[in-house]
Amino acid sequence: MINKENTENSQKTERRTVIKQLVFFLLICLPVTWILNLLGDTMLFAFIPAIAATLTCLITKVKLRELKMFPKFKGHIKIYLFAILCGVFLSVFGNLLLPVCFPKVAVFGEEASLVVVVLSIFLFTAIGTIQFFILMGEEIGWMGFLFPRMEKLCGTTLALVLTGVIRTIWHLALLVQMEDFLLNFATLLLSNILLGAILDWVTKASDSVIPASVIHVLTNAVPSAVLGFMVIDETLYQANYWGIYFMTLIPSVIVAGVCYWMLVKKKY
Amino acid sequence: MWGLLYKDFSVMKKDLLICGGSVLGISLLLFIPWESLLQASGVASEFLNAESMIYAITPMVVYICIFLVISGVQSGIFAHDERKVFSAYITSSPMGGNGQVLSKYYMTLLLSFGVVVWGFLCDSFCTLISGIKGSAASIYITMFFVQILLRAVEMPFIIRFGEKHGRTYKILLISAIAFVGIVYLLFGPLPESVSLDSFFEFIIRFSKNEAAVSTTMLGVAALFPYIVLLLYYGSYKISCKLYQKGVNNYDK
Repeated sequence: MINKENTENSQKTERRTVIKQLVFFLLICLPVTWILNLLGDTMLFAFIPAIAATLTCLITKVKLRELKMFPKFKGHIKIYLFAILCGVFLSVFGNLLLPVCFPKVAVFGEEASLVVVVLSIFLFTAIGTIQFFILMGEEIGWMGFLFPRMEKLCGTTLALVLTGVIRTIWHLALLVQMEDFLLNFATLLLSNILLGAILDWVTKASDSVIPASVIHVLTNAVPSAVLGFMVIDETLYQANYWGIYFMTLIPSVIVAGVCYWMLVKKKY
Repeated sequence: MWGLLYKDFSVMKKDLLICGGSVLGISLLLFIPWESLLQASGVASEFLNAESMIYAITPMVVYICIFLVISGVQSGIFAHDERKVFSAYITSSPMGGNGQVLSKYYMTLLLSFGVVVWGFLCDSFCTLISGIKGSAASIYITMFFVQILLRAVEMPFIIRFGEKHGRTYKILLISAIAFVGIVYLLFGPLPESVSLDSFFEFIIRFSKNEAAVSTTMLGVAALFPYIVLLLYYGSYKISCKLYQKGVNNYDK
């Protein structure tokens, strides 16, 4: 009876500590990023989640090792290779479907031969992978700090959704400056939730945020390798926006579904 | 292996600090307002191209200098470990000679990678200060792979023959290969279709074909990083085999 009470008390204390850590993290991370974005910064703000996570760990006396900042290659090389291949697959496959499924919206230009497109994908993959550190700041914050704590509080599924929501709100200052705020917000939210499942599985499987950073950078950089060679009719693109968007999400849905199942079954 | 990296950083602390200071000093050239200086000296209107040339040349000169400084530090990572006693100790440890070699390859990679990170930070600060979006990523990423390629060629020689003689033997071998190649091209039994004239004709025809030139350049740019990384891995494997023989050249 007493042991049960002690266990409940310690669980409540742990929950309170985790909530305090999350509040502290978000209070640093969100406003600072919004201010930087409103001041016109589009590059350095990506490091704010890492800085917020590090400060929170230092103040709440959590070991920095928990942020999984360093690579662990031994026994995990396959995950790093998977990260590169997954990033390229997510970026390229959906965009390659565009001229196939919507031939009136997009066509490949005259200079786009198979060899040129493949070489371009290789080039963007190499450049993107080398620059993984640009988005490592985000992944230290989200995958290293935020998601494990959300998962402790509310389970895997809700943690994935809430982390996706927070990641999207974090981009608020940038979204507000774009046209069609609601459209961009909705598409970013869906992408963040799907990508979150993939990034979280990869982080747990490799015990490091670096593969997640690699996937994130490649999904930002490699689409240009294919889209750069397409001639897109802007009017038809806008008219078919949601159809095109859901089509390009197909690879993400498949990979995210598999990663989510593996997360739930604890296969990592 | 991480322990060996920590040991290398500790032993080379002074070199790294001097290197860091030099890199910082050289990087300040990126933040000088060249446009204003040119205007103040009265050259701007006539040399508008020079102004844009300055913006193109400055990052190239800066990053070449930074990579040269880093090369100097990378060359020094072997010197303090060239002792028979230390080599015997590390070979008897669980990591063995392979772990020692791997730590050197990681250290070299980390130092070069540090320049890429530094380059990104310089780009970000330049954008923040000037408001002009620009990036020298093509320069420092290319230099990164070039430096890794040069280290991949050099390190097996240093591991086999020691730091003092390794570089000399490398230069001698490369010179010998180049000499034999040139002598063969000039005097050797070449097929009739292969001649200097036919070679230059091919170059002229090729350079007139814009599509072929751009595809070839794209191919070289795209495949170069992968070839370099494969060569670096191959160099590591060769160095592992040569490590024990190289130990015999060390001082006590």
